[in-house]
Amino acid sequence: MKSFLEIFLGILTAMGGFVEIGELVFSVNAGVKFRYSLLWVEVLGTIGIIVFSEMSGRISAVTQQPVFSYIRTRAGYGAGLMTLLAANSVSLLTCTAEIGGLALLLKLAFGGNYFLLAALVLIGLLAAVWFLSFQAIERIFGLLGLFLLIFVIAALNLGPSWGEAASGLIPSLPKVETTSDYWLYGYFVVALMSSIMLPYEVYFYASGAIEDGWNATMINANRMIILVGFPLGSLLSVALMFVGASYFQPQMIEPQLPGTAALAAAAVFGKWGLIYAIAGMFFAFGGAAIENALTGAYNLSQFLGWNWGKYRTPKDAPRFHVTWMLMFVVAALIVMTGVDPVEVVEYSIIFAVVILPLTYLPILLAAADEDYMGTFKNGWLAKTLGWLYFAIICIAALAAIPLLIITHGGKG
Amino acid sequence: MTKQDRHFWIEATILLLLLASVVTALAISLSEPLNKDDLKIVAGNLRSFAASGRLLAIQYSKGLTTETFFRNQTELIQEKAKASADSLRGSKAEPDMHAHLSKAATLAQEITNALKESENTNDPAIEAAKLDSLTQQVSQEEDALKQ
Amino acid sequence: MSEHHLDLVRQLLDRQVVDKNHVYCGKVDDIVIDLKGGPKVKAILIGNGAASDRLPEFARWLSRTLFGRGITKIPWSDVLVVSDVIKLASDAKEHGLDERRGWAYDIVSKLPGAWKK
Repeated sequence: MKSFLEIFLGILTAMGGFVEIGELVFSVNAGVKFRYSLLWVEVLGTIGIIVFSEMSGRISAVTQQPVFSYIRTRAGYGAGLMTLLAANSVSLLTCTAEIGGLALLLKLAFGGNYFLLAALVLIGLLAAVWFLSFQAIERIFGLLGLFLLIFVIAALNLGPSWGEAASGLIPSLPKVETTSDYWLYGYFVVALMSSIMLPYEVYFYASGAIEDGWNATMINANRMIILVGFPLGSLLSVALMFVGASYFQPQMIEPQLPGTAALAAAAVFGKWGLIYAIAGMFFAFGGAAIENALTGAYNLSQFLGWNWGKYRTPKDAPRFHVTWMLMFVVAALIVMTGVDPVEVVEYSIIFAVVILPLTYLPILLAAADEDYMGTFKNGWLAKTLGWLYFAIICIAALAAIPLLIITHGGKG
Repeated sequence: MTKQDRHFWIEATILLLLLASVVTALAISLSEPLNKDDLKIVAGNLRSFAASGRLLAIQYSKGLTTETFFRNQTELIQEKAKASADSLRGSKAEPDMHAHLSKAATLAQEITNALKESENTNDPAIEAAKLDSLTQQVSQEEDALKQ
Repeated sequence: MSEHHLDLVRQLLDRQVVDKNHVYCGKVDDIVIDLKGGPKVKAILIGNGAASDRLPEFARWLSRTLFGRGITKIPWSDVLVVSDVIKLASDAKEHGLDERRGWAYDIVSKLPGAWKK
């Protein structure tokens, strides 16, 4: 049984680690373009990630193996390999975007050359993951990501229209100027949902459970952390949407840089608001970069049967460690080509939607399998929600590429 | 040729054809002349850049942001505007869109220049006013394209 | 080994292989069966040379070009227990399957703090 303090810290960590650069940009822009009418997508996506993270954590706690370890026996070598390549590609691109975002934030705080800063970020991330324990990494980046709460306070200060927000909780078509905006709305529904339910989140959660030494007694603590921490984390996203609606829309700005989002905090609180916003984004992006690099290493190691884990002495799991280092290095090299990190994450989020069914089906099936889970298999609630969300994900996956094309790459 | 070899070449050919068709589709869409929707999107981006630059200058003049933040963020937005301006200069538009294209290209260059000046200014209030006027102009152009 | 019935696909193939010290040794990529005198499992195979056989032609060629054709053959006599993992009676080193070799180990072991828990 975990102590109250541990659960409390777990909740805060889950909350602070909820947001990453893609979610940030999409949430703010969703607010700018469609005000509050995409709020229901935030709710939908948050419930979805709760359902699958709970399953993922439960599988790890009961079977003592993360769900990706079973991908070959459950799906076969070929399908498992495709899942591996797809998931790791998305993680690599997401890591790239986060590193680019970190370099941008450093430039805004201290000035300097973007590429040199990206190299510094790479070195910093390599050192952090190498020298810090898994628990230390999670706590530091998760808790310090809570600086993003400045956006919640800013959103409240900017006087949102609560009536309009409430009606945004019900899925309905927004008031738009042109018919092409309906397609854009659809694009945002798909992209926003995907940014909340990115594959790396459930895989990292599964492996993290093993790193933290969970067993079946942790199942209820797991549920508490998820049921409280994730909705609180989604409040950070929701605050960004509010800020988009009440601050940036009147200014006619569609933020395409993380620094622009920070202006909302600056408007309300001045320089200190700016500092908190940048700090919050820094630790949120940093945490996400680390999670994606480690996820790539977890997935590859678990697919091939290598020794893995930060809990293992590095000399006992050299291939695992080299893999996450390579993830960072390759991601940084892509940043060095000068691509726009926000554009990278926008495309990788759409690609992630397309492979989302491939990601979630093994989790759903494994969590329901009595041979694996015994008495801990999916109850009626998990089963119902799991299959419902699987259907939603499949629809989104089919709609994603057509919507991307119709909306000219999500611009209109 | 053994059955295995045959399968190998069939698969390789299919992959190659898929790749070739994706690359061709991309190449065609990039070289097509800009239509109304494309220009509307470009105008929207420019409006966003100009408005961001204006907001930055206003906030800096009120002491709400640090100097480092102001100059570097303006630089980042200016780079985006410049990329847009360069791209417009080298583009072709559909026959009835020529006027709009040249208007957009002009505005893009003006916005780029204004942002460059703002980046190095000591009087952000003036730059804010300039960028405000440019925001209005490009916004009108954007509305015209939405018709 | 007192297994009366071994479902090769569901219980053996693609399962995690561990040595006597519970060190991971890869996954069962293929199985060698002796068909003479009643089917018997002769050995399990670990390595890309075996795993890539299960891919379509082009993917197989690509996989082998990038990751080699290595195969490690472990005689069935060395398999101690078939449960949720395949446990070997011997040490991973005896089969060359331990990870304290190769360029990954060379890099990692030279970094400071590589021995720490």
